[in-house]
This record gives sequence, C-alpha cells and structure tokens, in this order.
Amino acid sequence: MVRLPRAVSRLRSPRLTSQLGLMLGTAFAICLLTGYISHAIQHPPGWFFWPSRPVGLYRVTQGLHVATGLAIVPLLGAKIWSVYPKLFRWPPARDLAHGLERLSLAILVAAAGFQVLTGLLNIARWYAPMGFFFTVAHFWTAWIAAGAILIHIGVKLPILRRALTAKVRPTPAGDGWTRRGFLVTVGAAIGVVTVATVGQTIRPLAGISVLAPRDPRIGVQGVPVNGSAASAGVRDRALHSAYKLELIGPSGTKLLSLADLAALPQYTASLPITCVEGWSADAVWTGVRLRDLTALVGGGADDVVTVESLQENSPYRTSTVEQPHARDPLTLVALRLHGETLDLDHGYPCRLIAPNRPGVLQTKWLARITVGAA
Amino acid sequence: MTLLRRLLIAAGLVVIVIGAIGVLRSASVGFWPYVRFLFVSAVYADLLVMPLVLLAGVLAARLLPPWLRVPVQAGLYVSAAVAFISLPLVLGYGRDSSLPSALPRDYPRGLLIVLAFVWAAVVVASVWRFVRSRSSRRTPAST
Repeated sequence: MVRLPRAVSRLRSPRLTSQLGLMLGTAFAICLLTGYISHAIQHPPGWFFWPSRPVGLYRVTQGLHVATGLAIVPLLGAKIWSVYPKLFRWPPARDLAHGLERLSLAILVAAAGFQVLTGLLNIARWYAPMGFFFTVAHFWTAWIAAGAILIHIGVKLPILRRALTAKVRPTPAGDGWTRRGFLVTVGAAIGVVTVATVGQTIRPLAGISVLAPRDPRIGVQGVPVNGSAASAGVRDRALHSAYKLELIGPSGTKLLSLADLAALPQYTASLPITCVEGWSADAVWTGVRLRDLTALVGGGADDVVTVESLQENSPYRTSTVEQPHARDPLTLVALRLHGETLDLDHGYPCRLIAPNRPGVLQTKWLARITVGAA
Repeated sequence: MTLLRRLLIAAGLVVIVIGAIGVLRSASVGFWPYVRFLFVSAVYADLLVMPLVLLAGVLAARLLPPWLRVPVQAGLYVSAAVAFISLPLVLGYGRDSSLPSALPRDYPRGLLIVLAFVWAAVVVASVWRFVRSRSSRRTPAST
C-alpha cells in the first residue's frame, strides 16, 4: 500500500469533512427541493399550487437544479476523498450498530452517485446506459438519497457539532495544502464547472459556457428544440391543408382552421421556453389567448384546460393547464415565433406557451383543447 | 443518543423505504437494470475515480518541488471534475441528426479550452509561489 505523504494525509480532519458535508448537504437540499418542485408541477398532488407568475420562476428553479447537480460533482469527489482511508478500515464493522451505519453509508454513496450519473447522462441525452426511464428512477432515488442523508446526519451529528465548534486545529506546516487552500480549490472547481455550463440558461454567459449541453442562441428561429416533428411522427398531419384545431367545452365543439385562428385577436408575449434538462431561452410568441379560445366553447375563468397534441404514443402528448395558467392573459396558443410563422419543430400549426411551466408541458402541434381535466 | 438523532435516523429509514417501494412499483424502471446501475454508482467513485486521483496526487507530491506541488494537485483536481462532467458530452452518443440544436457545440474543443484556462491558472499560481518561496528564503524569518 502506498504511504501517503504526511502533508496530504494531515489535511484530512473531521473539521474539513464537516465543512464539505455542510456544503454538500446544502447542495443536495437545493437539488431535492427544486427537483420536487419540477416533479410536482408535472404530477401535482392535491395540496400543490404553482403560480403562473413570475414568468421565469421555473427557469430559475430548474436552472438551479441542474447547475447545483453539476456543482455536486467536485464537492462529492472532495468529500469522498476526505474520508477515503476509512473505507478500508478493518474489521469492516465493530458491532451491529456500526455495521448498519456503514450499510446506510453505502446506500448514501450509491444513491448520490446514481443521481449525479443519471442526471449527467440525461442532460447529455445519452439514455442507453440507463436501461430505465430516467425521470421515474431519478425521482425515487432522490427519496433514497434524502433518507440516507438524514440517517448520515443523525449518526454523525456529534462529530459534526464538535468539529465545527471546537478550536480550529492549526493547518499543517510546510508547503502542502492548507485547509483554507483546499476549500478555495473546491470552490474554484465548482466555479469552473458552473461557468463552463450555466450559459445554457444564463444567456450572457452562452459565449463562454463551452461545455453547456445547449446554447440558447442556437436552434431553428433562434430557439433550441427538444423534440423534432420528424421524431414525433406528426409531419404529415401538421402540414395537412385540412388541419383544424378542435375546441371542446360546455357549450359544444368548434373546429378552427389556421385561418380562423389567425382571424381572432392576436397577442404577443415574451416568455422563456424552459426545459426540464435545465436550459432555457427567451422567445417572443404571438397567437390567440387560451382563455379567449375556451370562452368560444363556454369555458370560464376558473376552468382547468386539457390540451392534446397531434403526436401519439408519447407520455407528453397531453397536458393539463391548471387554473392560474389557463386564465393568465400571457398563456397563448402561439402561431408565430419571433414574428415568423412557427417552425414545424416548434409546433406548427400551433402550440401552447404559458408562463412559468416546464417545456414538456408546453404542448406542440395542438390537435384539441378541452375545457376541464382529462 | 439524543432524541433529535433518533428522529433523524427514523425519518431517514422511512424516506428510504418510500423511495425503494417507489422504485419497485414503477413499471418503467426494471429491477435488474436499476440494481446494476445503482451498484455501478456505488463503486465507480470509490474504486475507479478515487484511486486514480490518489495516484496522481501522490505522484505530484513525490516528484514535484514544494512550490509546484499544490498548484499542480489543484489543477489535477479541477481538471478531473471538468473531465468527469464533460465526458458524456465529449463522447457525444446523445447526438441526434434530427435535433441539431441539442449538443450543438464542439465539446472536445470546449474541454481543451477549459483545461487550458485551468492550467494557465496553475502556471500563474506556481510562479507566484516560486517567487514567494525564494524571497522568503532570502529574508530570514523574524518569528
């Protein structure tokens, strides 16, 4: 076994591990909270309320989710390094309690590593190594990670308290690392990772975020696309000359052609398109207010609305527009993007665009709008 | 053990069980693919990444003069973090010809640019430490 140089091994201390643990715990808390928000918007429990304003709130929470997840990589590395020799402690467990504690640690390391790896693969759109549906596995494993973190804090609380309140041990003498220097380096690593990627949602940084999975400036009509018309299999029906949008409400059913939609009062709204993958882009949309359309078939201000796509066989082919969004004057059935007719990949003939919602719920290639829940 | 610690551990157990049941009940998450991935997640950091990191750190500590040691170790650590997060992008298996706006950048080039910045910072820090170590050797310590 290689003997570690003294200056390196002396850097490890309960204080350093506790400080890294606090940083990591905070980062995980941010990811768990923002992740749960994103989940609840898409699968709202009865008690959950998500407003339609501020229009860019989801952009902040989901941008933060992915940026924090990326920042966890160097933090997790440093934290594991700080306790690494303990991994090979022999015997592996002193007694049953110690053995259970180490088992909970194995669960923590596995679940945390799982969340980081699957998240990275998902933003890089590389689904094959996972072999399961990402969002569902990422959601439930977050619970496992959260539980393991609670147990870890419960077990380590006395060490954590002592390490953070005790008199600071002098940093090792010589030319090696200081504790502060090490923490500054961890901060630098987080900074580099963040600057290299966060331009996918903070547009002014897009030019220097050379490792961002997206560039908010790149895409047809200047806006990135996450699902093409070709892969959705909607091309022929979307371009068909007989296309009609079906409206269903308490007072009956109406069929509107693209010309009928264009003849209704048009409004323009500046709304970001925000992907669950953490990127977002500003866009200017023009179209008919959703509430004006539902009013044509007897819908009221308090109604929930269901929109359906021409797309078939996709978990995101329909979405429910909850009341705050359905009544919001900024919620449009958009016909134009940046002043041009909507591109097929952006949802031509028309798509939903609402403030403060994930992109997967901004249904494209609309076929039907129904007043009421699905 | 205090009440707070007992509560934290009990709550943690409950939350883990909720997550595990959630995984088991999800039709879109197969048991074996999930367990396999979880196992890989548990060991890749400890058994693959960390030995490499330690080896690089030990080599740097053994072979480099003191003024160069810490900047190089810091540079290796930051480079490892950047390489790790960019690997799936650099490999580019997620590219889709029908989606040109997804993964639109030249990621190998991006990684080289970031590493060039990191190592430029390492050079600056090393020069600074070198100059400082020489000047402190010339002026005898008064303490």
